[in-house]
Amino acid sequence: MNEYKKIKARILLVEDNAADIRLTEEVLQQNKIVKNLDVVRDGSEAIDFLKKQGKFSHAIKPNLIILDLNLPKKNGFYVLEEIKKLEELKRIPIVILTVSDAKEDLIRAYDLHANCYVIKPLEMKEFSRILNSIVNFWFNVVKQFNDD
Amino acid sequence: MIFNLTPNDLFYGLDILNNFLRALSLIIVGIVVSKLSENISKREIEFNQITEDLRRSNEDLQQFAYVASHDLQEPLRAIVSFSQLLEEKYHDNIDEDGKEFIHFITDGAKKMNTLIKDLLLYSRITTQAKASKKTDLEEVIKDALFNLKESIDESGAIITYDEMPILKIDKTQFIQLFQNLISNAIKFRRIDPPKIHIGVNNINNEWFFSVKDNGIGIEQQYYSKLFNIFYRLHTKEEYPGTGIGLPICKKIVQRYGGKIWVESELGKGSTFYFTINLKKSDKKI
Repeated sequence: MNEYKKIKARILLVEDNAADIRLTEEVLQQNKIVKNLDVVRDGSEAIDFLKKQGKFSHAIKPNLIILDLNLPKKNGFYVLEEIKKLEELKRIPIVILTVSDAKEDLIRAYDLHANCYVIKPLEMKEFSRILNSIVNFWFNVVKQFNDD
Repeated sequence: MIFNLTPNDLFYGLDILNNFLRALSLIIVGIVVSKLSENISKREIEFNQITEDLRRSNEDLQQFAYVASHDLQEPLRAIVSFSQLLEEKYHDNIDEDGKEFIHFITDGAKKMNTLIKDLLLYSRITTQAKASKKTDLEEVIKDALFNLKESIDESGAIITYDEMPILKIDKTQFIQLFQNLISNAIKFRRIDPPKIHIGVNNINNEWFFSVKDNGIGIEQQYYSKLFNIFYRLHTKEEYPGTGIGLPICKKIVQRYGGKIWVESELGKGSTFYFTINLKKSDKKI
């Protein structure tokens, strides 16, 4: 029997809020499944990173994208739409992580094929529990497609 | 004396007079009609203006609500999360006073977050109103009771209701309406078990609903303020809640051309009444 090879998480966080970035780093630092956390702060940078363009020519493709909706210039929906259009990127699971519980946001995110939608909790313990659950789910439960 | 006029002349004259009078009457009618339609046009313009103002203010409300759900909540998250991180990481280096201060910080931010969410809820009554559909109000009450299952079980509340009609309403909002009133009835209980009855009556095509409890009751001097946003009669330690429940009920009831009020006796119980007038409802309904 082939042993199921445990894959390490290479996460791309698309988030402009410095406080949220720091909180995410604090939590994921302690998560053993996470090998790498890259951060980009707006929609255009996210696309450049994923396409290895501009200053991101040495970027390594992530196997999980955590995407905030509230970004300056181009918002999260734009990023979501762009990624899901491209052959080489559309299979990367995208977790929308946002404060918004607005129905129209939920509908639009799922219509644009976000893999799941998670609402950022107010408190630290809950945030930690949720982030770790997300990582655990996508790397210990779900079988991802990997083309390496 | 008729001045040498032949019958022919007379007829001719009458003819001209006739035409003149006809023309005159047409002119008069024309002037009257144009004055009337000027009035109507003025009214129409006024009406269109008001409708346009309302539409714009609704749009502003929607935008504000959207901003509230994003930009206002992010800084609050930072305050709460980092205060808690502080406490966790520097636990050994913070004394009792420090820990208490941190709790006040997080409590304040959490309260603000709840207030924002409540304001959002309140604004969504207008911005997320759905088209009315024929709804069995018994189903509405059952849904509200299901949502309140935990507090009903906890309090042992006995809840009864009259036979309910089928009305053309927005189901979601009516569940909110009944749920808020029943939840209050349970929350402000006096003796165990709390007894709550939901009544209904039709008088002159107007529907009268009532939610009666045997709870702590309310003093008359506070009746009118009860329906103000965030107005509270008790401290947070006595009874939880931000005071948005009744204002939400009032807003929903008003959408249906109705009124909401309370009759109560301190130490005995309260009955909340509201009316629904389906003929007077919002045009959109």
